[in-house]
Amino acid sequence: MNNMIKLVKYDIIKTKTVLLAVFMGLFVTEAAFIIGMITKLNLMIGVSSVILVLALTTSLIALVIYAIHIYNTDFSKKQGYMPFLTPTSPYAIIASKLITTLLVAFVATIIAICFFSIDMYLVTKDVKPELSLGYAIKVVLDSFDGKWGSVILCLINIVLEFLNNIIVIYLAITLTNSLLGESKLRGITAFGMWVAINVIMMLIAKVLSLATKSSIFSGSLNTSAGSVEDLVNLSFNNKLIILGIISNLVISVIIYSVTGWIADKKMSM
Amino acid sequence: MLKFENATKGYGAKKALNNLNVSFEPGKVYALVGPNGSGKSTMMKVAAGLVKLSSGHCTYCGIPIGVDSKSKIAYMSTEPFYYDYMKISDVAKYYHDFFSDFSYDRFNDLLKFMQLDPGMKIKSLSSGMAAKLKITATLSRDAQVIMLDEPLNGIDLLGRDQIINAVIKATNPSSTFIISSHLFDELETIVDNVVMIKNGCVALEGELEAMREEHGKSISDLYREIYAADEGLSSNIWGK
Repeated sequence: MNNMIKLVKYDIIKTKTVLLAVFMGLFVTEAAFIIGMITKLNLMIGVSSVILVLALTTSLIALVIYAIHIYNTDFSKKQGYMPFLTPTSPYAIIASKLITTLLVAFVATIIAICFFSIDMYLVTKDVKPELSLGYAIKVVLDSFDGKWGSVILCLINIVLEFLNNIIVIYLAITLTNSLLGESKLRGITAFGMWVAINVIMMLIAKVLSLATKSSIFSGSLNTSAGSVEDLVNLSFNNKLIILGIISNLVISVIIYSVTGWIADKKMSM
Repeated sequence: MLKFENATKGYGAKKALNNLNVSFEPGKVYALVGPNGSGKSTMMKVAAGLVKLSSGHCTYCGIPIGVDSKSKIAYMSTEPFYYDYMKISDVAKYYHDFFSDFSYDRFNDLLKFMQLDPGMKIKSLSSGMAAKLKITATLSRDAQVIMLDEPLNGIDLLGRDQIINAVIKATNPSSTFIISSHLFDELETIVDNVVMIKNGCVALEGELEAMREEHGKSISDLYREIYAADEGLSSNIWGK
């Protein structure tokens, strides 16, 4: 456990230059947007908003690339001797990569929320009260109707779905560096396995979704909902969310265990 | 005691280790010799937990190689592997974080001895300096088994002397030293035992003096006898 936390520390230090550059870039763009809004410089507002929208919409892809990068460098390059020579189990090494990715995702989410709130406030402060940020937040909070437990469960489910995707990628990378190590088509095979695992997971979600008549497993919200309130009511069925969490958790644990076992017993560096 | 029993490691059709049986006793310095590709590095990587055997066993004090053994076995690979962002002082911090047997004092002493500056960046080190750093970090652990893979590769004559002296200073009665090389001459002054590896298994092993007496030859001549025939070098370069 102790070594796992230390590995998280070193993973963050190792990638700090890239992380700082990305976050600094976002801060500079946000600052440009704010200055543009205050000074009413349309060109500055336009350019910075395009960059911010692009950054926010591609952030999930960027996070997945980051997760692959920190895992791949330690599992397929000589630098991997650093963690693998320490008295740390491969399970803990893999867990450290997941924790690092989650930490970076958490920080990125907080920054995105802050930027979004500031930008929305600046854009809507001079418009009608019904269109202001404050009103939008009030509508969303009111529709939760004190269902904070459900909100938290939903967030946990989203995090677990994200984790599932990352672990599947980790499994594919581990396979390329172990059981498929001698195959010339190992890259393609691993990609095929990644696609196959995802298809299986989607099918399971679809079956569960049909069985329970809920969209919670399919990763998309029911678009037939007529209002925010309907949407929240449809999505905040605690039993279904818990079922979703359990199924995601089971899949995560199984794939993590298989990945750890392969890294522990079959992988040579 | 570090022990290999029927250890086999295959990479496709090629076997890097082929039913290898050998053990290493505490308090001795072993030279692991053999030409390139004979299986020396694979053997060390198996003991370090970096390479998994296809069949057979590798144990330290009866326990299979794993998390526990890694805290007792120090390994220096031939390849550079420290993170590029690091300075020499960061390498010491890393070792201190993960290995309870790491000594800062010994690290700093060895750094001075190797004439390395703790503030130097890893990516700016020459290959000789990088090799000296790897040895410094490895020897700064009070490990029970210390394995150095080709520690003198690419090092100039003065550097070789420094490294040999550093190894001599680090030896102690409770630790096992295993030093690999494809050239034996450079290790002759510091080793007690010799293990010759050929095609992934032991070709010859024993105490240095006993081997000399038994075969009536120097170790270098024995080395030539064992390996030259395979490589077609028994006749001279002109084929006469």
